[in-house]
Amino acid sequence: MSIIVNLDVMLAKRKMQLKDLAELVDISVVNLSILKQGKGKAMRFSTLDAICKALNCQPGDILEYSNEESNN
Amino acid sequence: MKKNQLILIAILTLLFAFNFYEMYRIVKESGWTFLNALIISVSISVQLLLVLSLMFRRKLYFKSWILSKLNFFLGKEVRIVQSEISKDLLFEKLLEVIEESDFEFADSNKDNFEIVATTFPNFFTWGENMYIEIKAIDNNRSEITFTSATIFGYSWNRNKKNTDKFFELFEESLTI
Repeated sequence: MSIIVNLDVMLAKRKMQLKDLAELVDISVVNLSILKQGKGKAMRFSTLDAICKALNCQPGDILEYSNEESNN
Repeated sequence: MKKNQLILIAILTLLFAFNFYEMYRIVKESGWTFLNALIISVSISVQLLLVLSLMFRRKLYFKSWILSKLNFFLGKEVRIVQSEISKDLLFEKLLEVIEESDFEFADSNKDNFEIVATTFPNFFTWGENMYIEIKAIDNNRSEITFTSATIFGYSWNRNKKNTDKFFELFEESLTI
């Protein structure tokens, strides 16, 4: 997929664990893990909103478009 | 005791009472003939099989019996799908999906990546079992086998509905 989820990068920058984020955004650790690995089908705006709020960042800090992978 | 268990006991009591009354009536009217003995023994065996299936349905240990080809009393439906999620994560994810669905979690085996969930019996069905098995294809891909099996008798398309419904729920749950 050409959309890269940089959730792990943001978590490292904020020195936060996935479990702590899961509690803050009220989403299970399993779902956040799937999201982090970019294996989810889609992402809700409400989820993006909650994550941005919890990590104090912009949607662009979490999601990134890369056309390198799509060329493979 | 749960409401569903009470309903099941009520249905079984009614069924057995009716069957035993019929057996009593047959013997009373025409005595112990070979045919009567055969009908009664078949009836008792079928009822015993039903009770045993209902007792053991929730345990993964009896999966091989429920899904056995020799168990021709039961209808089965299989659906195999591939996923890009690792099997450890899928196992946890599917447990979450079961919790949010109409199915009730019954048993699981983390070592073999197997789960069994059940639907509740009602006046139209004895309930069905949903067996889920996850196998790793490689490090990043897994194969999930959904098998729905009736507890007793023909499925009347319930097995297909179960597998379709569960797969839809799983797909929906990937929108996070």
